[in-house]
Amino acid sequence: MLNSVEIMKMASAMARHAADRHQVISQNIANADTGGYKAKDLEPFAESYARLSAYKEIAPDGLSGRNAWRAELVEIPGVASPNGNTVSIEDQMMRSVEAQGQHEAATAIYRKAMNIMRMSLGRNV
Amino acid sequence: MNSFANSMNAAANGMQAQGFRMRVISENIANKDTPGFHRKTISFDNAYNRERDMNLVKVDRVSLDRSQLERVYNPAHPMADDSGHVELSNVSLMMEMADGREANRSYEANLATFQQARQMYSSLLDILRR
Repeated sequence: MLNSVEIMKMASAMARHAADRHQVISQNIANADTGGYKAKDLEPFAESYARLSAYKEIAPDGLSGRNAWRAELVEIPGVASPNGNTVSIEDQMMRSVEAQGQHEAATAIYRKAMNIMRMSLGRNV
Repeated sequence: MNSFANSMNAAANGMQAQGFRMRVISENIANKDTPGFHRKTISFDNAYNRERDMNLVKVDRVSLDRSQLERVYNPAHPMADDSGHVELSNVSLMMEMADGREANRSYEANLATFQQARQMYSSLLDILRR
């Protein structure tokens, strides 16, 4: 029971990470023709999750809420075009599809966990 | 949920900027045969939106291309100068078409991110609906 609550927490954090990542990517695409703009991305979910787990060991209830899940921004290395812009639309499309897939996986896990809980309560799924 | 709203906002912002760029391009093409017309160029800048904590795009300024106008020898033209030359526009159709293609490509990329954000949002709502 408690395990499945943890799994739901993790799935919701994963969905949130995917949504935040999609936000960063849509910013990049909006600025695809802005001179001097540097493309950014979020660190992978696994890294931010591992860091949070490490924090939790030090302070079990010191971190909670939304800010605890905040992933760090990283710059995407790439060749700059003549106006100093490093956004490649093709690369950004790949990343946004990745983020979408991650979000889909997270919602699927969440739904499955919910179904399992419902089943254990003896209701029709 | 807020992230999706921000995503869609950034995409709409990008589409607006590219749409404006398209407008400038079509103005240039429309004035290809206007004597003495200097083509307009557009540049984008990054605008930090404090309310949303995002880097949105804004049209920096529209400036005139000050390069040499095309000079054609045509003494019969009413606007010909003393030497019989007429100054036409400095619009190059090839350049405008290439610019238009680029604007189109960026616009479509923004549209795709908008649709993705909407799909992700609706899949989130599906969980609530069940």
